[in-house]
Amino acid sequence: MKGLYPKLAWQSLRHNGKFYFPYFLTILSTAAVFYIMLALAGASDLPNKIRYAYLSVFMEIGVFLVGVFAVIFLFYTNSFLMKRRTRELGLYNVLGMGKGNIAAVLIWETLILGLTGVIGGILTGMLLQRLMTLIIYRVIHFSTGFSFYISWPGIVVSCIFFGAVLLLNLICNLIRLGRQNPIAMMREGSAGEKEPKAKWLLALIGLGALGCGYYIALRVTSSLEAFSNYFLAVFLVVMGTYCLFTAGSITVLKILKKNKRYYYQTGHFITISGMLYRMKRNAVGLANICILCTMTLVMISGTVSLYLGTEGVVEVRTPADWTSTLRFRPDEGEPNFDGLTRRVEEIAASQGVPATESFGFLNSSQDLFLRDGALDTCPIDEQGTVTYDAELEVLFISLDAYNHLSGQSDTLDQGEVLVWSQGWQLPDTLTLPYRSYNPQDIAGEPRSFQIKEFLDDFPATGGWSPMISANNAETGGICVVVPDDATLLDLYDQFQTANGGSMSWTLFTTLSGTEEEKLDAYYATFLDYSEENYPDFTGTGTWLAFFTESKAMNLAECYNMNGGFFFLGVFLGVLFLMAAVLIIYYKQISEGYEDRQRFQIMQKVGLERRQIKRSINRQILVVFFLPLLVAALHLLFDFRLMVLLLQLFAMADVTLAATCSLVTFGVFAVLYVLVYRITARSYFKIVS
Amino acid sequence: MSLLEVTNLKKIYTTRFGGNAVQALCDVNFSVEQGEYVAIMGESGSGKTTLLNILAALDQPTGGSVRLSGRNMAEIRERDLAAFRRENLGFVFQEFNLLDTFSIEDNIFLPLVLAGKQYPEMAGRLQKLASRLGISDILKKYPYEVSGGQKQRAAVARALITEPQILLADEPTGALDSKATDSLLELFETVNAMGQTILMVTHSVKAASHASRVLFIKDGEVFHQLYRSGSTQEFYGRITDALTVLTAGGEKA
Repeated sequence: MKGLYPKLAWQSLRHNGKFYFPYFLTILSTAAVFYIMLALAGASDLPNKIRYAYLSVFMEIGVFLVGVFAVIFLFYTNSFLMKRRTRELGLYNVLGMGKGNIAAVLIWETLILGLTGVIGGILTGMLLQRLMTLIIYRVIHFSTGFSFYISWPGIVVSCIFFGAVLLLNLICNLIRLGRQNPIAMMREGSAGEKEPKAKWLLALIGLGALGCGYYIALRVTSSLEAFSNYFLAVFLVVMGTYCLFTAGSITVLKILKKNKRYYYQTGHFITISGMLYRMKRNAVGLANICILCTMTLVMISGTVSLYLGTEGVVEVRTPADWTSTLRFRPDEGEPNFDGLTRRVEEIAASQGVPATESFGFLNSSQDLFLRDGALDTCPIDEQGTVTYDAELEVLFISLDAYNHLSGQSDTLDQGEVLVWSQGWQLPDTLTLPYRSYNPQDIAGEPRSFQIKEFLDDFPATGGWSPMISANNAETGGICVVVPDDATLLDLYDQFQTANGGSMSWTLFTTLSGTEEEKLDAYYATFLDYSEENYPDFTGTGTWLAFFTESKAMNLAECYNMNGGFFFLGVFLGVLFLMAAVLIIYYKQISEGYEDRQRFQIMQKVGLERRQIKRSINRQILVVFFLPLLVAALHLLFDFRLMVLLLQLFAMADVTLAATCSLVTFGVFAVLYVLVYRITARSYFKIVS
Repeated sequence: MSLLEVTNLKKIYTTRFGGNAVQALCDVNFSVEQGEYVAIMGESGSGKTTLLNILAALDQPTGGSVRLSGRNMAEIRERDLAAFRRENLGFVFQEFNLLDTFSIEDNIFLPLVLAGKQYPEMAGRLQKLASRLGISDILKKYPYEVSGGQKQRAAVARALITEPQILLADEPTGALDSKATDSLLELFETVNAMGQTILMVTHSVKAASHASRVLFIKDGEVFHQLYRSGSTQEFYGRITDALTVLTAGGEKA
């Protein structure tokens, strides 16, 4: 008797291979992913430099998400499998196996699946670990290789975690088994189903929730608002999706059914009544697929946009290899610009990356309030009320600097300026009142300029320039090109009188050598803040602060973070896709069994094979492509939110984000169709 | 001319690899006249169901021919078969074969909807039929909400609503209790009295005794036939006798 249970368990697994093989694959792949994430999170020989600290954090987030996903998904699959098998177990019971015996078979099944799945998963994980490490290192632009190692904690945690999940599943199955009697079990599946009722209230709630979610997505105007409202919008859309799939679909079908002229037509008759039951059974599953698809799409398109936009973001912030910014107050003494330039070039030369070009220019960033087309230091009007359209950081640079940076050769007369403005419309005259908060205080003298031309593009000037917030409609950005440095200093004087603040001088240094050498040079000189090691700048005049940012370092840092997001996004996206595939597959199979009988009866009553096929095809198409369509709609509305959220990472390239979303959706749709076609084959095999 | 003529009908089943050949029907000959009520009897495995499947054009004979109103069913093209079946034949099955996803009313409408009829016409036909079959009260219900007898009446309604030339019934009383059986057989007699031709396959003597003629099939051949005379009770006795001879393995009468 002892050898019988494992044998029976093995046989029933093989007999139900159509259902259990995908389940096995799910255990295997989630265990593999789980182990890889754990191994990467705990990789001990990762360099502990600041710039790589993100990786383990990302992997820990990944472990958590994969864990949650695995629990939900394995529970879902298990309950589906057990429902399918109720009859078979009932038969065992009728044939004389006690519930204890059946429980023994179930325990053996879990043992077989668990051992092969989890151990196989960890082994697969080990095999893929090196590949994944290579991929992620490439993605985060990290060139040092590291050797393969076996993560024992990873193995132990994976085993315990999946063991616990499978054990919980088994306990649920045993409880279910204990509750049922054999006759009820045998009859399960053949009991008539009540026709679903139209749930108006739920359908309306769903419509309302979806509408609100979309409305939020359309109404939000700034990044921070997008961030704080994002989860509310997501929650509303998810709720709306579930309500509409379950109640909305049935309500619509019921309305169609009520219309007798429409309903009693060959095509509509079979399709509508079939769809009613199909939606009743599958609505939740389809909503799941839809949500999974949307999540995959949003995640992948967002992280891909972020990743591909990295270079652009870094370019705006640090256009040159070394971008140095000097803050000073002209009235406190003149800095020695040439001396600073020479000093930086000396440092570069001493580190083996001699400068090939240096360019310094004066500029002034002023925090101004836009009101009635004027840019003022004070947001309070004559009546004492605070009114303004926007608070803007306005950058002023001289014509020489602008021409040098942009490669143009514009000219300006005194009293003329060039303006680059995004998000806000300015009149033809630039008015700068320089008023003070307190009327008793001294204010600056008002200045005004004729705007010679509105510029379409503006060169990167480094630092947190108005360009970064330019695509944000609420904040916008304004840059002003004035005729010469004297005008620049005059404007600064007025600003300083009214408001205080400092003047800036920016130095771009172009270096020779490889990216890695430039990075090392920067590390060696500017990141060691101890007194004796930090570069000596004495004898370069009077100034407040001088600091240097490295493009190579910013790139490494950004790639590290965005690459981590990218890797996680794509990795989880693939996992979600796999889940969606599995749900589709199971749905196809269960639908197939349901439809087989109906198909046979209809044929006897005089329906042509062709017609049956056409009707079934139409239903299946609606059922499986509805989630994809709804996901596309969600993605469309989410796009605005995504663009705003990406601005939090200083990524403002809307075209790139749109391209990424479109390509992601395209690839996803192709994959989805492929999956559908493959699974549809097993469906038709069952039906005919 | 007879309504249904079956001549030299043969059916041989071969397994997939052509190994064993099983002869289900060897040489079946009979005809059914307009307005007749014929029962075909035989034991399990005698070829009854095969015969009915061929008559219903659900299966192709290996040899011989079936003519309905003089039209050879073998000559009907595959894609016209469904329409032919819909227009000329009505079916009643042992297990009712009602679709759970339709109400009783919609189940009855099914063949008409398939034929592309307009709703007012369908409703008109159903109204007449429903009161005759006593199912007016259950039209809005679903198959799983009504009794077996009611389900079978609904199935009969579905078969008759197309006004078929012949009603084919396969063990119609097989899944019914005795009370429902009596009422169904009564219904068949009424329908027959109104001119509907019925061909019923059964192994219930009681069901057969309501027919006007009984054909006995054994080993794929028509072995014997009895015409009704006298009361149902007397006919019942004669059928039982014939069956005794049949199962005792007697020679062809």
